[in-house]
Amino acid sequence: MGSRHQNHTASPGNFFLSKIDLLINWSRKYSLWPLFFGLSCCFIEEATMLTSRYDLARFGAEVMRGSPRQADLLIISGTVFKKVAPVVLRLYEQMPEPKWVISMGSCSNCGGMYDVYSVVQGVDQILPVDVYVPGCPPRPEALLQGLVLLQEKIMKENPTRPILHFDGGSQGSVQPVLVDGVTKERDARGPGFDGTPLRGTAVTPPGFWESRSELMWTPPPRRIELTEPEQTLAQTLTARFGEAVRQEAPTSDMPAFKVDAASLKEVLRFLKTEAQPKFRRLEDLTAIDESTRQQPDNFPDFTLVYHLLSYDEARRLRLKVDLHGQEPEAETITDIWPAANWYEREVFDMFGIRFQGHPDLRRLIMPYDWEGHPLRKTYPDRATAMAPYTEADARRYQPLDAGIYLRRPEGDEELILNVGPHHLSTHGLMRFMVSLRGEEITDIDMDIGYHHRGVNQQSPGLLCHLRP
Amino acid sequence: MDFSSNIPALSPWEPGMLSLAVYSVMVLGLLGLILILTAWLGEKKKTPEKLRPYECGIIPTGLARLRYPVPFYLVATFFLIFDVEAAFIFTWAIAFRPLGWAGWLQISFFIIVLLVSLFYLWKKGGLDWGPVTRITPPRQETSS
Repeated sequence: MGSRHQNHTASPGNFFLSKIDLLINWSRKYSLWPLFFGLSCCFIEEATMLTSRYDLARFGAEVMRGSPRQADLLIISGTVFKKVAPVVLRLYEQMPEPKWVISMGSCSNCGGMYDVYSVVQGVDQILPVDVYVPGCPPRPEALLQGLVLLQEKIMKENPTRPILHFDGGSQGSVQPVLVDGVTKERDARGPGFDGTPLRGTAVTPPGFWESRSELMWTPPPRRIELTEPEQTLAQTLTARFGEAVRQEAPTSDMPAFKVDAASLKEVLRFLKTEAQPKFRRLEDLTAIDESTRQQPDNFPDFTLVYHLLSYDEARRLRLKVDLHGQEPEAETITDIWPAANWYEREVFDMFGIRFQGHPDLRRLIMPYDWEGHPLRKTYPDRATAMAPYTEADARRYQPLDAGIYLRRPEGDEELILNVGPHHLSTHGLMRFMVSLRGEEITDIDMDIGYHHRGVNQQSPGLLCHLRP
Repeated sequence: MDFSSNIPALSPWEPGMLSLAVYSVMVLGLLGLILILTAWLGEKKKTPEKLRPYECGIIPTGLARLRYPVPFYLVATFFLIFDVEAAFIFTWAIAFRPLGWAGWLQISFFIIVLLVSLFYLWKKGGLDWGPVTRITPPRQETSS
């Protein structure tokens, strides 16, 4: 646990001012008002700190405020995502002076184990931090100790001079915002390890050179025998669609078919409305970037994967579609399953696969002005491989104006209101945009991705036990 | 101490008046002192972000100064009208026997006029207040 103390300019010889300092500091340290603010799992520990067992009230800081206007302590509890970083900075700037910041948990301190494109590698790159509390997550006791450390820091401040409009003195958070490569180091290897390669480079995409997987023995994959109804279904599909649907065998979990892109919608519509049993639910729609396979000739550039579920007999089904080219396109299935809307937006966001006929194909998770598609194997897989996220970035990349999401047919009579990302009910996860006419909600849209850790993209480069 | 000779013009109740005056001056003085001290001691760093309305950390859209929907005022007005008329009817009911048939006829006429006005504003749509069903057409953005 560390606190970077500023060299406070003492006012020697001024007995009177130092006594007022003492009084003001003593009052302030026992009446800290934290902002009711949480970004991720660390907030669970922070909330536990409020409860009777840990009893934050003993330290005079139990008055959690819903608005930054009334708070003087910002506890950054959790992962600071690049999409939510502008919001965090705005909340900090909307708090009145003097104010202090506690960075809680590894993610907020340095990015933690989320060295991934969507995460700011340390909140101290965008705002000043007084106390760092390590841990993943820190226990409530650790956060209490962080609070006590902050109280000790407050006792060392000299607030009387600024309060009385004299020169000198100090109060509140006066730490400089850290700059990567100058006052902080994002290199996860730590000091003295400059000669070693960056972690995992030998086995991370897109290289995969010197992979040991061929030398290692692995247990044979699980194989299943298709049951009789499943074989009947496969025969029905073959009889109806011929070569357009090919059964993939063997399979380890559910019947799988490879479908030609041209006849995909026909097959899906058949499975939903005519097949025995009917597969009424679209379970999942995702894609695979196949470009780093060890035998790339056996694979297409991208594969779209559809999972279907039948309620009638509790049966699952998988369809795969090969896509070729670097800007592949597929047909939307939103007219068959409206639920495919967000799935297709996600696939577009993450892989850059476009869907013809989609009613509203825009990014789902990443910010609207994000560049690149993170789940492509060519995408930089680590935040430390990208340019550092700075305070200037947090001012520049603002979330899109709610007026763009909502149409206003009633003109000026409707109030457009953001609920979230920082709200008691959404706590940093998502953002609802509502259009209000009086007290009636006439239109609503939603923006997610404020809590996106890119685990999918991060996991292939990590050993099993390190995968978050 | 006798102040009465100093302030004969105020009232026959001089000592009380004096204490009231002293009290008022003290209250005003204390209020002024508190206001001036807080204005002077308070930290006032006005930055653009701090002066911006707080809306969950997002830059707000548009103004909050909107024309408020009319039904709020309509309902308030209707309540006033029909509530005040209840006062007439209750007073008539108390004096039911002395007023006799003449009174009954008059209050009946009054109630009928009220009913007619109620049906009138019902027909005009004054009571239509609730969720407006609006079919939202899908967004017309293209995929490119």
